[in-house]
Amino acid sequence: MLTTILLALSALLPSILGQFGVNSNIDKLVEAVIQAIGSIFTAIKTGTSTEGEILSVLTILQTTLAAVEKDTSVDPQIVDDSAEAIRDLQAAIAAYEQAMLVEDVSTLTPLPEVE
Amino acid sequence: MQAKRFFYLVVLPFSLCFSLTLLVDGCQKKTAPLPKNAVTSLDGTFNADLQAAHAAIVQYETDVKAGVHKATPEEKAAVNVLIRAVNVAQPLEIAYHQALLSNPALVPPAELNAAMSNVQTAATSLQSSLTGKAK
Repeated sequence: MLTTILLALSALLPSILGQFGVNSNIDKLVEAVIQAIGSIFTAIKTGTSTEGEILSVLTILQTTLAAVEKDTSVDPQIVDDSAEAIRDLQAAIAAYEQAMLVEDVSTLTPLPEVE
Repeated sequence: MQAKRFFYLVVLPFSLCFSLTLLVDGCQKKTAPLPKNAVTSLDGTFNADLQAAHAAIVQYETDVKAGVHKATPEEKAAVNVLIRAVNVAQPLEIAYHQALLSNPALVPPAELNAAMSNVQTAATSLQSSLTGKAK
């Protein structure tokens, strides 16, 4: 079921993946996202994560995103999608990490649909 | 170059998800301690998965509403399918958690298992529907 989250988060990646192999900054970003998904979620789930490790991966994500944002050859929609995918991923990581420490089902409130 | 693009466009996403399913959900010998307030590890896992999805969706909606992220109508429609699935699963997990408090031996009801499965299906559909954005 963890892959549910990964699939949802990777929903924005297809537009980025289409650029893979074309732009080295995009390549680094995709690899950083895949690394983050693979290493962070696994580490949290197995209880082997440390704050330093998580921060390190998140820093890499931000750094690679910054390079994409500065790259004027990248389609602005790709930049937008990249930034959004990372914001969503970071939110998911923070929530997952917290939930693996303390379960609080009261925060599972109904979500409004996107308009 | 073409082989590399094919690998990353087609092979990697599916193999990543499949291998992570095996690695994370099935084959771990090491697991994190039970979250505080969780009654069983499955209860904790269901909650953590839904919390992550919930947080990602809230972030997405906040950004769309604020104009930070420009979402196409197709993207919004696909995300809403996921939101509806999550909204079905959440109260079922809450009810299961509450029931576990008085009976820790309870297995997840079929309804909850089906709802969590639907969340995964909706997420899969979301990814498929947006594949067309790939250039």
